[in-house]
Amino acid sequence: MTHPGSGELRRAIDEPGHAPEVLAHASECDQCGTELERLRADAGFCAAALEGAVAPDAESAYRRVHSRAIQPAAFANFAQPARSFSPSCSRRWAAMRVHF
Amino acid sequence: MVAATTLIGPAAETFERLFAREYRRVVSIAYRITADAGEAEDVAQEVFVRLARSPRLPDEASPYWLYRAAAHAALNAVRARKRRALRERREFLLLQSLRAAGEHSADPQALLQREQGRAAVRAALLRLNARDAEVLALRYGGLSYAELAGVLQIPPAQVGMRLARAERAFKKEIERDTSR
Repeated sequence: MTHPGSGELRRAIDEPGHAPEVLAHASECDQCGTELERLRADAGFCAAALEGAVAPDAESAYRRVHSRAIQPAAFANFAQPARSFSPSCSRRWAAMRVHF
Repeated sequence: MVAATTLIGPAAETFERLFAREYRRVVSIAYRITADAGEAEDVAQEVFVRLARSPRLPDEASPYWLYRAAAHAALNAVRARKRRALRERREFLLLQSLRAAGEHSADPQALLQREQGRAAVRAALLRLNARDAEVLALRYGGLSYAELAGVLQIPPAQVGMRLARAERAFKKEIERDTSR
């Protein structure tokens, strides 16, 4: 067998059943065995750095997504806070109340 | 104008099935990059909202668009996290966890180190090129080699090479960071 590439060796680490001949070759070939160990170390390093399990609540997430997705774009502005009265406007209202 | 025209009739059922099947995986992919469960869920929900508002839902059998969108949106979220408000939030959360650790006799120093380690990992992911960060998020988010080939639109034989290259680059970035 010719020397497998790094990609084949990398896959053999994750999916050893995919091409058993690759691992068999690496066990007999110093060059490929060294490369396999280097790749295994890199993979182990990344797995440790990027590990972590998440258990999201899909049902409540679906309700949130659904309510956001069906919100008509035309009503989006209603979510914005109402514009406040300017001081001059308030003064005019105050003046009108006096006259009433 | 109603934005979500796809969520009507059979399309709504398709969307619901896709959501039920893929939501956890999309969160998992985003989590590899954000390292924050809440932020990963926000990213995943944003991806599904965009999907629901798109004029056409993807083929149910190949939801690769979702995986890719999750990785990209998570990278964008982490980039945005650099801004001041999110940094403050992280500091607040760290303070809270340190306080909680103090109350429960855990080691606050270990917690601080863990939090710094996570920050170093996110920073290294951002320094990688987007293709490498994407392949790491997808693989460690749970995709098989066959699925990765589909998502990245490359022959299955090239997946191992892309992954090995990304892992090498990631490790170098972390080591460079810690050797400073």
